[in-house]
Amino acid sequence: MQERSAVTCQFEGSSEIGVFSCLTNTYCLVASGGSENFYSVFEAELADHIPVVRVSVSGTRIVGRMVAGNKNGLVLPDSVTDQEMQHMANSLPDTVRIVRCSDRLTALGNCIACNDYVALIHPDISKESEEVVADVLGVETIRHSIAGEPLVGTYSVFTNQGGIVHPECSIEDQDELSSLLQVPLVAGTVNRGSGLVGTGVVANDWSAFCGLDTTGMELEVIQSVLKLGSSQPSNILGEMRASIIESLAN
Amino acid sequence: MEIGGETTRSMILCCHCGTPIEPNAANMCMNCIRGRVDITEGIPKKSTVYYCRQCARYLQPPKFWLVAELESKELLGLLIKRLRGLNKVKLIDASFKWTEPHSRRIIVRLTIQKEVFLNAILEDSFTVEFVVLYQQCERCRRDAAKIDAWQAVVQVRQKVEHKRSFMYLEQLILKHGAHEEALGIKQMSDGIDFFFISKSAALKFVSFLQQVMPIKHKSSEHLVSHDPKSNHFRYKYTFSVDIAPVCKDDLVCLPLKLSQSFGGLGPIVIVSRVSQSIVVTDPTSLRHAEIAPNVYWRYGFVSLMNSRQLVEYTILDVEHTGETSGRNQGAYITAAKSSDFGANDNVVLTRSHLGGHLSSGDISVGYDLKSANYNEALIEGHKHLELEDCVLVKKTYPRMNRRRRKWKLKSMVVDADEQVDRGNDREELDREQFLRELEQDPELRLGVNIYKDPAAEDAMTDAETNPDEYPDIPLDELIEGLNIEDGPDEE
Amino acid sequence: MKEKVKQKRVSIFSVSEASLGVGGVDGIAVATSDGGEEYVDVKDLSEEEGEESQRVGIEGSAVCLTCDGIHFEDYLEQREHFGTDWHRHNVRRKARKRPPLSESHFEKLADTLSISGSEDEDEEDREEEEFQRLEAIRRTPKLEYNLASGEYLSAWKAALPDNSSLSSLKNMKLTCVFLAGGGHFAGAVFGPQGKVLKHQTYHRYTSRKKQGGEQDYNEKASRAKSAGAQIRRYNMQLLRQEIRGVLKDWTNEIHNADLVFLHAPGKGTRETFLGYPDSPLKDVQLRRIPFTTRRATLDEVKRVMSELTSVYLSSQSVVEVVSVPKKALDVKKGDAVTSRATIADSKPPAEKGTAHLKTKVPKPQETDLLDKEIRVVREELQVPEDVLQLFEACCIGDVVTAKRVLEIDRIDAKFPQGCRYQKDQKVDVDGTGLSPLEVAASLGHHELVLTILELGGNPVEGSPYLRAADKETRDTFRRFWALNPDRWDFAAGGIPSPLTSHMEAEREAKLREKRRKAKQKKKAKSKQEKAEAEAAQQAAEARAVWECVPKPKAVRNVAFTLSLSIALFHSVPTLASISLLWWLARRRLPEREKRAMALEGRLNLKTATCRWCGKSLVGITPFERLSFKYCSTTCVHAHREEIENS
Repeated sequence: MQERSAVTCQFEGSSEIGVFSCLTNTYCLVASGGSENFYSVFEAELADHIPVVRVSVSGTRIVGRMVAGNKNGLVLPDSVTDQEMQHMANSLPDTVRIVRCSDRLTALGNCIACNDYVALIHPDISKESEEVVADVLGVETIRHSIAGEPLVGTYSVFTNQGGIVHPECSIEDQDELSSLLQVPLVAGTVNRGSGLVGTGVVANDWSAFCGLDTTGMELEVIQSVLKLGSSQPSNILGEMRASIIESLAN
Repeated sequence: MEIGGETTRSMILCCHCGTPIEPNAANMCMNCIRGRVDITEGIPKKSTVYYCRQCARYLQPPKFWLVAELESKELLGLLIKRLRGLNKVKLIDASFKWTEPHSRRIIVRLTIQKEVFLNAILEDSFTVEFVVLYQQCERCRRDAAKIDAWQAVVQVRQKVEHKRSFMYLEQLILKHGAHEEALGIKQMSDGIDFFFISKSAALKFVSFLQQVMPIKHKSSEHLVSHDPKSNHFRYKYTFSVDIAPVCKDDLVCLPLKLSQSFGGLGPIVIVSRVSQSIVVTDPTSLRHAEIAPNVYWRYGFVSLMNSRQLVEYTILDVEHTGETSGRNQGAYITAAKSSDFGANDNVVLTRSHLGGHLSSGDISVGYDLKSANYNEALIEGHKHLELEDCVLVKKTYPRMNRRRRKWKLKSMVVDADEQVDRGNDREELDREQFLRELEQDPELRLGVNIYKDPAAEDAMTDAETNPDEYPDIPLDELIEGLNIEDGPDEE
Repeated sequence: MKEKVKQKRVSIFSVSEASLGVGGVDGIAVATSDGGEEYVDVKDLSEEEGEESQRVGIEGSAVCLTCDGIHFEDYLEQREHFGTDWHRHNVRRKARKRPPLSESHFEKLADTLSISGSEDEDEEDREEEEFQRLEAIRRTPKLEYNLASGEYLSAWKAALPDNSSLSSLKNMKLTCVFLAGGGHFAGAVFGPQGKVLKHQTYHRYTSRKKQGGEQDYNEKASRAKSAGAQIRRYNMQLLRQEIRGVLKDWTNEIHNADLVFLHAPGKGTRETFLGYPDSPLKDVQLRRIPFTTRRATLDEVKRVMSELTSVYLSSQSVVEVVSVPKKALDVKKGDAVTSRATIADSKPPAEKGTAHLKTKVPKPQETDLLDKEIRVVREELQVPEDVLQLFEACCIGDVVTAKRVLEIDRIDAKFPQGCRYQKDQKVDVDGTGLSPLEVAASLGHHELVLTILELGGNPVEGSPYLRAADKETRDTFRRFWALNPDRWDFAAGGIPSPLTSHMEAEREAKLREKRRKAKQKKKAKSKQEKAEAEAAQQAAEARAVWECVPKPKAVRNVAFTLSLSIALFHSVPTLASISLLWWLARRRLPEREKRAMALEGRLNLKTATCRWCGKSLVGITPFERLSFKYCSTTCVHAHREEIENS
C-alpha cells in the first residue's frame, strides 16, 4: 500500500470530522446527507481498498460519535433503526460483525476508543456492554479515563500504530496508557489547538483524516505518531541519539 | 519513575510553529497567539489631542478645557479617555513614555488584558502616540477677537442718580452666570452695555433681566454690510433695556388711577422691594401692593423722593395703634430729626408701619416732606391729599466704626467708559449703602452670593464683640472659596 | 521481577557535553542507584530490547496510577489488573476524587459487601453508592430493614436501646418520657408493653400572650415590672420546683430505665431539668424524641411512647436499604412483629401460583392493632392458569413445572398482557409480549433456557441472547449452537459464535493458569515487600550520595537547546517526528529520557545499516545518495556503480 499522509477535510463547514465519520481498517462510515465533497474526500482516499459507506445512525448524522468499531466489528447504540443496521450489514464486509448494544450511554463513539486489539471504554459502561464490545470487536477492554475525563473516545484516538491523547493528559498517564495499549502515544492537538482529538481525527493504520483547521504542525504530529507517510524519525535526531546510545554502550 | 500525587504535564508542540510548550487553553505558544490575535485591535495607535497654547490647556471633548502638566495624572486620564475601544478590554496599566516637550508628541504605554479563546487571557502592552495639535480655546479666541466681534449689544440703563440697582444687578448676574456669554461689559454713564457674539445670546440675557428686574426693552438693528447677490445681511442688534427708575426705599406717589385700582392705596407709598415687580407699602394703612412691570410701564411714575434724600430721625415715642400686617405694625411715632438736636425742639408726629421695629431712642431714616422740594406734577390729580410731615422708611443703625467687613462680593470685569466721569465719591457712597442694605435685609441677600473674606479672618474676633446691635450677616450664609484671581474684589 | 542490580539510573543529561557530538565517547560515567560509578553495557540493553522488541512503552511504565501506582512486570499483567474489581472500584473512587483503596483494604470491603466476583451490575452500583447510602442512613432518624417479601421494616433509631436490634426495643422494661415547654410539663414512666406506671402533668402560667414564649431568660436586660410579669415569674419558679420535685420522686425509675426521653426545648426549660446539681437526669443517657411533639400533656406522652415503640412496614423505602442476611431476617421480622402490643401471628407465606404480590401498607399510628395482615392479591386481568404457571416457572426457573406446562405449540407463544412478576423490588419482569425463552434468559435461568432450547424454543426470534442476564446463560446458547449447528440460523439471533466443549476446556485451563499465576504473584509480593523495606533503606543512602553528585542541569539545558537548534536548523517537516516529541515530552525526567532513547535507538538500529556493506551506521553520519545511506564514500560509489550497471 502506498504511503499517504493525513488528509484534511471539512463537513459542511465543521472541522469536527470525527463526529461525522468513522474509519477502521476494513471500512469507513461517513454521514449521509451533507455535501458530496466530504464523502468524495474519503472515497478518493479509501475506495480502492475498503468500502466507504454513507450511513445514518438513529436518524442522525453524527455517525462517528454514535458508533464504535474496528476491523472486526461495529457496535451500534440501541437507538439505531433496523433499516440502518440492515444497510450497514449490506454495505460492510461480511467479516465485520454488526451488533446493537443497549447501554445507558448511547454515544458509543465518545465512550469507546479502540484499535483492532484493545479498547478503552468509559468507566460507567455496563458490564454487559463491555462484554459485547469485547466480543464483537475482538478486543480487550479497559475501563479508563483520559486526563480525568471518562469520554475516552472524545479525548483520544489511536490505531494499531500509535495514538494521540488530549494535551492535558500527564506524562505518567501517557506512559501507563501506552503500556496498556501497546502503542506509542503522544499528547497532541488538532484543528488548530483543539484538544478534542477524537472529534478532529479519524484514522486507521494507513490513512488519517483531520479537520480542515488542522495546522501543518499538527498534521506532522499526527502523521508521525500514526506512522503515516514519510514521517519516519528524523535522521539527524536519530543519529544523534544513536551516537548517544553508542557512547552509552561503549 | 516517580508516581504519586504529582503528575508531569506533558509538553506539546505549538500547533503553528512547533515550539514545545505546556498545554494551555489555546494550545499555541505565546508568540503564535500574539501573531494570530491582536487584542489591541480596535484601539487606535495614533490619536490627536488639542492644546491651547495661550492658556496651556488641553481639550477634553466636547468643550471642556483642562489644565494639565505633561506626564501628569490628569493628562493621562484625558488621553485614555480619548481612546475608543478601551472599554472592550481590561486596562491593566498606563504610563507615559518620555518625549521631548516640544516634540508635540505624547506617547502613552498601555497594558491591556482580554480573553481571547476559551478562558485564555492574553495580556499585551503597546504604545499610543498622541499628536498635540494647537487649537485656541473658546476663551482665548474671545480674547483674541477683542470686542469687535460683537453682534448684539444690550444696553441696560436706569435713570436714577445712584448705582445701587446696578450693584444689585451685578450680583444677580454673577450668581446666575448670565454674563458668561458676554464678550465684553462696558460701563456707560447711567448704565452698562453688554456685548454678545450673537443675537440669541443677547436675547437670552434680556430674558434673564426680565426675570429679575422690572424692565422694558426695545430692539433695533443696524445693517453693517450686505451681499445682495447671495442675500446675506449682517446686522448689529441693539437691545435697549430700561430698568424702572424706582428703587427700594424710594417714596412714590402713585398716580390716581393706579391708586384707585389698588383700592385707594396710598397714594404716598414706600417701595419696599424691587424684583421682577415692584412692591409698595402704604405706611399709614400698612397695605402692600405688587405692581407688575407692564402695569408699571403703563403709568411710568417716578419716585417722589429717593434714598439720597433720607434724613435721620431719632424716635422719641412710639404709640402702637394695634394694626398689624405681616411684619409691619401700625404706630404713631413721635420723632425728631437727629440734626435738630441741640438746635431746636421741632418734633414730628407721624403714622408709620414700623411700629414693631422702632422704640424710643432708636434711629430711623425717613423723608422730611415738610421741607422737601418735589415736583408738583407728581402729586397732581389727588384731591384732598394730605402729606404727612415725615415718612419713616426703615430703622437704621449708627455705624460707629468702619469695621472691616468679614465678607466680600464678587464683581464683574467692567470696562469703564473713558467719557464717563465716575463720581468716585458718590459711587463709594452708593456702594457702602448697598452693602449696608445687604447687611440689613436678609431678603435681598437671597439673590446674592456672599463670600467669606479670607483676609478678614482675624478681624472676626472684633466683629464678635458687636457693641451696637448692628445686624450682621450670619456666618453660615457666607460662601467659602472666593478666588481672588476670579476677579477684582469689592471694597 | 526486576533485578535490582540491573536497574541503573542513567541520565542522558549526566552524559558529558562532548559526547553529544557526532563521534562516540568510549564510556560515560554514570551515577547509579548505589552511588558507585558503573559502566553500562550496551549489549545488555540491546539484548533486553531484542526479546521484547514488539513491546511499546517505556520500561517500568506498566503501572496503574489509579491504584497507588503499582508496578507490573509486563503489560499483560497490567491489563489483567485493569480488569479487576479492585481497579474498577478505584477508578470510580478516583472519579469521585477519593483516594484509592489498597488491595487488602479493598478485599476487606469486598467481603463485607460481597461484591467480589459478582457479575451483577446491581452489586457494583451498590458498592458505588455505598458511601452516600450510609450517609443517608446515618442522617435519617429511622432504621430500616428490608424483608424477604420486598417490604421495609423501619423503627426509630432513638427508640432502640442498643441502637440496632429490634429485640431490645421489645424487651424494654422501663422507659421515662418527659415533655415540657410553654408552661406545660408532662412526664410518665412506662413499664413493659408500654404500660403507664406513673405519670404527672403540670400547667402553669409562664408565657404571656403575644410575647413570643417564656421571657424570663431575656430578662437580664430589662426586667419587666408589670403585675402580669410578676405573676409569670412566680409561676415560672413554681413550675420549676414542681418539675424538680417530680424528678426527685422518680429518681429510682429514671436510674433504672432503659431509655429516658426528654423533650425540653429552650434554654430555660432545659435548665429546669438539668441545671441544678443533683438532677437525676444528669447521670443517665438522655435521648431526644426524633419527631415533633405537641403540647406536653399526658395524651401526648402516651402518643410519643406508642410512636417510639412502633415499627413500620412499608412497601417503599425511606432510605436506601441495608441488606440483611436472610437468616437474620426472619428473627428480626419476628421481633418487629412481636414488639407490637397486639400481634398478627405471622405473615401468610406468599402463595404459589400468584403472579403479582401486593402489600398493604399498615398505618402505624392509628391503633395498636396495626399490621393485621399482608394480603396477597391476584391481578384482576384474566390470564389462563396454565400460561400463568408457565410464566411463573420461567420467572423462578422451575424446570420441572415449565417442562410440564410447555407444549410444543406454545413454546414460541408470547405471554399475554398481565404477566408480571415482582420480587424484592429488584426483580420486576413484565412478561408481556415475550416468549418463555426470553423471560428465562433475561432472568438468567440457564438450565431452563437449555430445556426450552431442547424442546425446540426459537433462539432467533426476539432477542433471547441479547437479553441473557449473565455469561452462563449466554454460554448456554452458544453451547447449544455448537451441539446443534444446523438447527437454527443462530447468527441471526445475535449469537456470536458456537462454544464447543473444547473451547471451554481451553478457557478453563486459561483461567486456572491465571489463578495459579495470581497466587504465585501474591506469594512473590509478600516476599518482595520484605525486600523492598530493605531496598528503601538502601535507596535512602543512595539518594544521599546522588545529592552529592553535581546536578547536570546546565548540561541538560545545553543538550536541549542543542538538539532543538539542530532540529530547527534543518527545519524539515520531520521536526515533529515522534522521537523528538517523545524526547521533548520527557526531557524533564532523566531516567525516562534514558529509556526513551534506548527505545529509539532500538528502532533506529534496525534500519540504520549501510546499504552497500551492511555495516551499522550507529555512531557515524551516514552518507546519503538517493534514499540510501552508506557508511563511507567507497560504499556510495560502489553501490552507484552497481545501480548504473544494472
